[in-house]
Amino acid sequence: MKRLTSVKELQSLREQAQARLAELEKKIQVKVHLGTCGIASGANKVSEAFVREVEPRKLSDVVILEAACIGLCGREPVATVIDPKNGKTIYCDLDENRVPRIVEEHLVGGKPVKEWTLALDAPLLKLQEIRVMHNQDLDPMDIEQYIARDGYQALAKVLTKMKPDEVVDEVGKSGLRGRGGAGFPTARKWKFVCSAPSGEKYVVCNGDEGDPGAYMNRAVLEGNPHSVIEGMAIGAYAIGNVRQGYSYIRAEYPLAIETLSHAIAQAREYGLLGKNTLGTGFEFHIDIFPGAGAFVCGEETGLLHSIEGERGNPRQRPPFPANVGGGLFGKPTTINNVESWSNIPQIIFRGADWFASVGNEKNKGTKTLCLVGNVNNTGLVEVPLGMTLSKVIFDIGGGIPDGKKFKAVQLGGPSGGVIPIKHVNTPIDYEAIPSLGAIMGSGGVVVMDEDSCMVDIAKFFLQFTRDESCGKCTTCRAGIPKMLEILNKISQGEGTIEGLDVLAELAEMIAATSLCGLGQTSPNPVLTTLRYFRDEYEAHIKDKRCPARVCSALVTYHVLPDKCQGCGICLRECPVGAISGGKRLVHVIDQDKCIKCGTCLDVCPPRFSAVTKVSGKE
Amino acid sequence: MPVLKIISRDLKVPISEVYGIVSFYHFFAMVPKGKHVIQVCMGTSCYVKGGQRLLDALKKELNLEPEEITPDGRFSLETVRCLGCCGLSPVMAIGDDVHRKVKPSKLKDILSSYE
Repeated sequence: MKRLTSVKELQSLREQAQARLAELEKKIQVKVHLGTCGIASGANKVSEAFVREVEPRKLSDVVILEAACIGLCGREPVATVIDPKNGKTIYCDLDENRVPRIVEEHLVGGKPVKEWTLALDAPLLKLQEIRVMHNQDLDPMDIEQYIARDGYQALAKVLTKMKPDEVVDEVGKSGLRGRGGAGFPTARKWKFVCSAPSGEKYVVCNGDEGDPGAYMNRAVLEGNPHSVIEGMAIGAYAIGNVRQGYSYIRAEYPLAIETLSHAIAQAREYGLLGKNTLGTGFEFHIDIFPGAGAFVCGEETGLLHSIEGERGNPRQRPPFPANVGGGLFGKPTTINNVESWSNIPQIIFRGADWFASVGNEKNKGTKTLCLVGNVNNTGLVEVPLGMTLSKVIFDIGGGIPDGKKFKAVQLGGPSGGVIPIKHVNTPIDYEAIPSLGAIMGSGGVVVMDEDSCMVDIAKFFLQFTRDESCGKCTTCRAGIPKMLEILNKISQGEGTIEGLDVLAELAEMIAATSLCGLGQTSPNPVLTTLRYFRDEYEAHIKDKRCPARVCSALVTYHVLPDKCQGCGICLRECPVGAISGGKRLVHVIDQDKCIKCGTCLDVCPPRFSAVTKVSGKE
Repeated sequence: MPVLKIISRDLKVPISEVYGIVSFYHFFAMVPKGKHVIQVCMGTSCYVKGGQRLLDALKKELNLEPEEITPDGRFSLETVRCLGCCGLSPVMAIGDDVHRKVKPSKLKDILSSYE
């Protein structure tokens, strides 16, 4: 490929690429979605199976393509078939064995195999507003497909038709707020760096998506990498004096790193990155910096230290990264989240008004969310900001599986909090969620049903922050383990009501005296569970009972004599030999030997359901 | 420890600083890894869906604690904070293979397929 040396050449390439896509549309396209989730579920085998089935039939009008994840993670492997007659058909839960029938009936016979498809008018798809994820049906490895979908048009526009401050103004007008969690207006962040004394400056993309239960940024990097590159280049132009950008991506995402590296190399080859971009004299380079597995490196000052080759400890602000002396290698630096960067090209290309056409008063645009946990449709969704939690969980998510009851939803990872059912009609935005004690975070929405114990969840998050604390501030390093100790006692039935007051006091102190976001927000999971589920804490303390039957010290397993058929399955499977009984004899669990692993409950055939889990006086 | 000393000596960096970096980032390890590295996801979604029970079952099955290696070097066990496959919880990875929706009762079969 020859380097593009002018905007005119970009336009003619776009026309060629669009013509190629149009040519494809006349054929039957089979797109197997190969994101990390898909590959984990066997999408590669499905893709191979399609090739294997199609080739001997010599179907000249069928093309088998690769595409990114479309967010139906719980239904993987997923393939989309687009043919001129039926339009789009989405197949879910595929495996190799289902492929021959799809090839025979749909690709050859022209009739979709209805029972394996997902209805296109299902609320799961209809209620979403796909903007950041709008290129997930393309091959992320092919820059020309991105160009065909108006990719790099925004970059061409700013380089030839806009002044840097006009770009900042346009982003400001759109109302875009940082998608990393705090929701700070992106344009204002940029202005700080613009107004810093001139000299070299940097832009950084924060892809250290460490929140457990969240992988939106991974999906964007794997599915729409060029939007991030283009966004960073536009940012570099708007801020001025920026020649180098860094993408910091966590090492746990190998496919994201591979896809983005490939995309950067392609952009360079096409003259869209590097020296003299599109013949305009603009120069900008991007390098990837993989993380090494430290959650706190998602904090901006920790991240900068990590790129500089140091231990990623956060430090006192000011100086802020935007200030001289505070950024990368001491230069003024702007750090934005993957999703924020990814929104920029469309804001420029389609205009701020288009971006602001969805959302509510203070929160414009869309947000990608990871809808996971105890919910029917797990996966990645994109909705307008301001949509209510209940709409996301019950309409898009399809409610709670196995007829269980909804209990709470956790937002914002270890820095966030749980929100109980009485607040489920709260809009998802940067004001309403924090007012309940949680935070927006990067967009993880973990749904919990009645079988989740809130003391246990608080413990889980504190273990996380304890492990990930860098140890710099005493309150965080020593205070979190202290809180955890109290929680452990509560979950073992040895807690006291006074302990709850100490817990609240410690939480307040850690929040007030820690340097960085990790420490300041670490008590949130405890504070919100205490606020909304105090009765559950009290049940553990006063009644020695775990209402959700999770805390193993407060739970016992029993065989119901009237239901036990003496089949011997639990007896064989019990790892510690705690079950006695014989053929056709009622089995009994020896409570002294039982380690409460729950295996007996799992293996007892549903038609008997003879094993129960009991906590307290029930 | 000998490795840390070599790094410290040759790079002329205090060993405390080398240790600080190694203990800070999870991707550095101070015990050898097994032929097959088992990573059990302990992200929120996997936790809610039984990741802890999966880990307990693995510990029992292999007689290992996290960060340990079997005497024959076949497996080493680790926990990780979210593999980013939350739609498939609970998840564990063995080498490059990600196993989805793993039930403790399926573990024996899964492990036996790794020589």
